[in-house]
Amino acid sequence: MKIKNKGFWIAAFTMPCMVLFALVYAAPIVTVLYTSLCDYTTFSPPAFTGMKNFAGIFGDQDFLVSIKNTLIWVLLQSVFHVTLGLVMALVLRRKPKGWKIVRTAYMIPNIIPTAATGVMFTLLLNPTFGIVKPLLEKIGIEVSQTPNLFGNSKYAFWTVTATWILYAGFNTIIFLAEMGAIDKEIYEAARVDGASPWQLDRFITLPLMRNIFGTCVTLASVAMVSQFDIIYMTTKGGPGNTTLNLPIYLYKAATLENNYGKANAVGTVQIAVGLALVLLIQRLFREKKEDAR
Amino acid sequence: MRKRSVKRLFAAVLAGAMVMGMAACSSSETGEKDSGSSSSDGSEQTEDSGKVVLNVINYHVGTDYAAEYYSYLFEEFQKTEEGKNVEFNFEEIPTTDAYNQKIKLLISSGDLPDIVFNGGNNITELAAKSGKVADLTQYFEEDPEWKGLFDDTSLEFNTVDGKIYGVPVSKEISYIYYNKELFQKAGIEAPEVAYETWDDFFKACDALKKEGITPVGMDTADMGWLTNLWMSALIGTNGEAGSEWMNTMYPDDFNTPEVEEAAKTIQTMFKEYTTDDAVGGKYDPMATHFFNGEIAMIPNGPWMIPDFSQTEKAPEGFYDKVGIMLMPGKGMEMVPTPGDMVGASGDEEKIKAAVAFLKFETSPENQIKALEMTGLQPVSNDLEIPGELTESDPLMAEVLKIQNEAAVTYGQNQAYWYQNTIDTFSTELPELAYGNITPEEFCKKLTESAAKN
Repeated sequence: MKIKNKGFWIAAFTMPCMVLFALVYAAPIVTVLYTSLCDYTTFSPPAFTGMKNFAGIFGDQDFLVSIKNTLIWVLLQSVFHVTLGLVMALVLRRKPKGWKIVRTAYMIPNIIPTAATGVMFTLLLNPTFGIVKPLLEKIGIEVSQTPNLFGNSKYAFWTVTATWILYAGFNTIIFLAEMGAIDKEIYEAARVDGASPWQLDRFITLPLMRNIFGTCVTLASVAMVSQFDIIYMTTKGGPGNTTLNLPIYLYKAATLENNYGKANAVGTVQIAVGLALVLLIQRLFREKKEDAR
Repeated sequence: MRKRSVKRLFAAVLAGAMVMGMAACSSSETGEKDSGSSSSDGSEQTEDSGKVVLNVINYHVGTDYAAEYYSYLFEEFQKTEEGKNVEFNFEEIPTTDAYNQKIKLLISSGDLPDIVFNGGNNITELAAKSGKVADLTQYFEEDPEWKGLFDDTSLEFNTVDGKIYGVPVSKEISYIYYNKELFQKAGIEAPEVAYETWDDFFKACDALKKEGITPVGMDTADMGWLTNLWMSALIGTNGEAGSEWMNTMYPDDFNTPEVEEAAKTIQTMFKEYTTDDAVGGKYDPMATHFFNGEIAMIPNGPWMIPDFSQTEKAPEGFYDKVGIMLMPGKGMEMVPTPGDMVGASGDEEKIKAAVAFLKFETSPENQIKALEMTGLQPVSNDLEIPGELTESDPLMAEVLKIQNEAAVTYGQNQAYWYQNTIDTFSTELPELAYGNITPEEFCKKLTESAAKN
């Protein structure tokens, strides 16, 4: 069936969304980009200064650490976290005993507000009344001082990472949905040919997960570039700059230094990093698609 | 053909509905804005209802130590001659931190409320320089009796570029609370006023430690309030240079002998004399340690006193176990509070009503009321303290008495340092505590942070 004035209808249906996007996202993004080139504080309206803010942040050791931490977390989230979600989905798809309970339980961390998760972990890992001390005693490890997992820079980065990295329930659900959409006849044909369960996963399920894997990696990366609440609730970027990432650095520049120009320069870098990651991931998975043809 | 027409019609209706929805949203938003601006326009309000409506963002709500007092204050003000035609339009924001963020946002891109409570964090200067708060100098000049309630230091603290913007409502002081029972257990006697020297203080800490008692409460998170009080005392009581440094607004050089020495002592205190959860810890769990008799001393101000007798916070009878002493060398933190301000709405009626509220808030009667209800120290020096306070709240009476014994007074970082430097203090303390950086490096980081302003 051919629709007359197709262009008109497409425009009509997308217009509300485009208008909303322009008002809610595009206009602020343009403002951020412009004011990142300005001297702009609580005291002074934006005054164009060129690349001064960018020169300032790239000369700041804390900013470089925040980029490094952000990228490490993006990598961990994209590789480990998404893979974990996939593995869980592969296990749950076979419907072992109690799979429904496990599936539900695994989703629970995803429905708890991250701020609450932060508070919960802070209390749970408190060196005086948390679980670390009794756990160490239980397994017979005697320490003169209970490790302070959030407070000591030796452990803080990995402790903060542990508050989210293992809970890949969201990805598991996406993978399970995609697996459910695979034509069962493909599996039956393979079984007739004598394929083992492992071979079914290896040669049928996993290759068909490629596209959704790319989507999950994109979502995970973007989420990590803007990760804020749990870090703010647990360490606020400390000790020192151990857990500092781009959003926390931006927040501090805006609210503690009252330097909006600098904060928006960080915001611009954050947008650039996010865009670069999305394009890179898309390219990576598109190439693989072409390879597969 | 007919089917296609129906589809087209359906699509057109859908698109129309979406666009109308958008328009409706937009018009409702405009409507809200209009009504908002009308309600914030005092003159209209005055004409419409004969009342002056003052917008107030209040963070003294919920579990805030002064929630009950401020509720009383607003209610009582409306019973006065100046307040009988005033109505309040409240927005409640729990916690000082959230409140400060909101006010900063409004300073940068909005209108401040008519009564601007001061949550610290350099709000006075930011607000004054933005031009969004009223210059109150003339109101002080027109009412010498009111002006006479404040000393020069308190008013200077609230003056920006020669104009008074804030009305100080109290004085902030802090000292040490100690657990008499734990001192007794360790076989040591607390001094009547203060330990003569820090060496004497640490000897007492050693004696407590020997008995398995953790001597002091410290923290690092949420700006490291308790550690800040210890550090301020260590600097402020370290001779004339230390006292002068600790009374300086916005210091930018932290690599002075007094500050470095204090940082070194703080490092030792973290290693030797406090709880495992001090590093990364916040004020609340540390206060709980004190209430539970798990630490012997905690530095804080009089606002903590009501907590001692609240059974949901401290065990019954805890109030009687608490003693008070000044910091070693008879040091006491004392800073005028950053005062409450009045939004520069441009509406004279509103500004006058807001000033009237601030006058009511700082009246001698209400300063005493604040002392009784919240522990806030009167900003005026020569107020008559009711005699019954000694019986009803002996600890508070002791505070009023002991502060006259202070040989040295000094400020503290949350009042005097740049805000980002306070944050650096908080995030670098764990590194100092675990010896990952030296005291000199710690001070260098503070200097670098201050230089960013």
